[in-house]
Amino acid sequence: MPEDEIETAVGNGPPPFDLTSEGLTETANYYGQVAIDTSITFAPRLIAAGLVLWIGSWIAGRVYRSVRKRTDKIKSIDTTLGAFISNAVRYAIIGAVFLFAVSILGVEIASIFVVFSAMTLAIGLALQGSMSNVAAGFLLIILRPYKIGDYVELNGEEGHVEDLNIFQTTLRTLDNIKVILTNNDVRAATIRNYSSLGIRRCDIDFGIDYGDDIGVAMQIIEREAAAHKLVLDGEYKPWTRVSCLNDSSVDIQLRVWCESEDYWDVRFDLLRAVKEGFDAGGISIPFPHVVEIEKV
Amino acid sequence: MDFVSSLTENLAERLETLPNLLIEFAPSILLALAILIIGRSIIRRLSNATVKASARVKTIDETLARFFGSVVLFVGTLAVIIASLSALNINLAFLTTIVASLFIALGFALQDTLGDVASGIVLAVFRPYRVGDEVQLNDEKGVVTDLGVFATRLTTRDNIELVISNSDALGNTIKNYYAFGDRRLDMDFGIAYDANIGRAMKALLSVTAGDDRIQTDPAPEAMVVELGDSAVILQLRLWCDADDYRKIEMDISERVKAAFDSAGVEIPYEHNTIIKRTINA
Repeated sequence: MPEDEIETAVGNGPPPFDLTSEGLTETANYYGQVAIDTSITFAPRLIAAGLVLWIGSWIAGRVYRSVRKRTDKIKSIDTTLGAFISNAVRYAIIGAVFLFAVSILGVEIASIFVVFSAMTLAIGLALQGSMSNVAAGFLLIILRPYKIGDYVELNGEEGHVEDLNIFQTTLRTLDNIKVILTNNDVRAATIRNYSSLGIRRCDIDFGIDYGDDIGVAMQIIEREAAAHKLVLDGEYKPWTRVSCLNDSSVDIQLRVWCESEDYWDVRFDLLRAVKEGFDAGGISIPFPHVVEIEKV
Repeated sequence: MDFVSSLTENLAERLETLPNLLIEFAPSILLALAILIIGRSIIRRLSNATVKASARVKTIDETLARFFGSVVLFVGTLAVIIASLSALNINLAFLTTIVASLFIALGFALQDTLGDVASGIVLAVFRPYRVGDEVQLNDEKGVVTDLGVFATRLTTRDNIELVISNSDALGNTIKNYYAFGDRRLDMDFGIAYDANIGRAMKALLSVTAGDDRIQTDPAPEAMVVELGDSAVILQLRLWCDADDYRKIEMDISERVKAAFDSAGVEIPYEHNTIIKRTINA
């Protein structure tokens, strides 16, 4: 069949239904031509869509690397957050490019869009709890109220900060329990940082008998405190005063300064040293006193 | 009769055009079917690949991997159906509106359940606990027996099963007693004010010797933690495997009593100094 004849055949729509061999050939020719026409008009679109995808993903990769590099340079943004932000940017670009490519192919994407945006809304509702943690996590990462390794109290839990990510903060308690707090809880409660200021004051009360010599007791306490090698000297030298005239004892308070990480060692060592010093110096630590009065 | 004959004639005419109509619509129907069949098989493969790929990530277990697979299957099938319907040249605007509002309604209705699933995914990725760990979740203590998409199951030490929704587990402070492998056991013992502190400490440390479960590095320690009302409070600190913690805790007291007795260290009763005075009334 000459070419122009086929053209007209296509232009005139499908041939009438005819089961004779002649009619079948005509039908076959018609659909063959339709297929060729479609592929001719479709090929450029396919190529264009492929190009868009290729260039788009290349751009996404470039943007990803540059965002990554930039966030790495900013000190208050750590690697976790940097990776998170740059990946989010990359996938957003790839998603947009994909939709663009699909629309070039002639697929009606508006309807798919409506469905997906509704789906996003549903997912957003499901994730709203986690999202508030992410928001709190951003705040904590930028404001940095504590660093990894600090000894802190967060929402009533004490320990060394082990890890901080966008959802959670992990502590290691002194007895080696892993405590994982949501960033929302951490942000909402008082944050107590025992490490950030470097040195700490350790206050210990010693109760002595009402009959003991206060001056001697103070001397013993100050001598033991000054002898401890972790206790700071000079401006921060040990300090003692009578802090309370208690029920059964005169309480003398010792205040010493030390590095934050030495706090517990200093405290426990001084308790023992002062007790043994009192024993040697004739100062007694009284038991609770009860006066029994007999009326005659 | 005239009416009947005209009706049959009309019907015959219509029937004659039916094959033509079929031919006219055949390509789009075929295309829709092809999209449906091919799309479905592609989506199936994609879903299986998702399962395999996510199963390869260490932190994602089988349940979660299959869950990801079914999400891909669901979303993909939806897209394929929409694409095949649009090949039939059906106006999809009304359909998408219905589906979209369905999603929003479902989203609201399933908000908490979906929140559990989302928390389950976060738990699976960050792994604050694994099956077999002793944990405290939502103020409940127990051993993790199952980590599901919706909820975490614990068994308490007295054998009660607890089912805690993943939102509750993730939304509260999580304590994992097994996460670091080792634990420090702290136990307090009071000794008399006139007992020798050094000898008491030596006695305390001696009870840890010869027990294979107690680590030698870091070595057990003893210290004065408080000068109490009636006793000097000593603390024994030792490191052990998290699994042995409770057993050692139950073994130590008896041994300390024996060691104090043989070393002549007194464990005091509560003390009161009583001063007697007589008043003439």
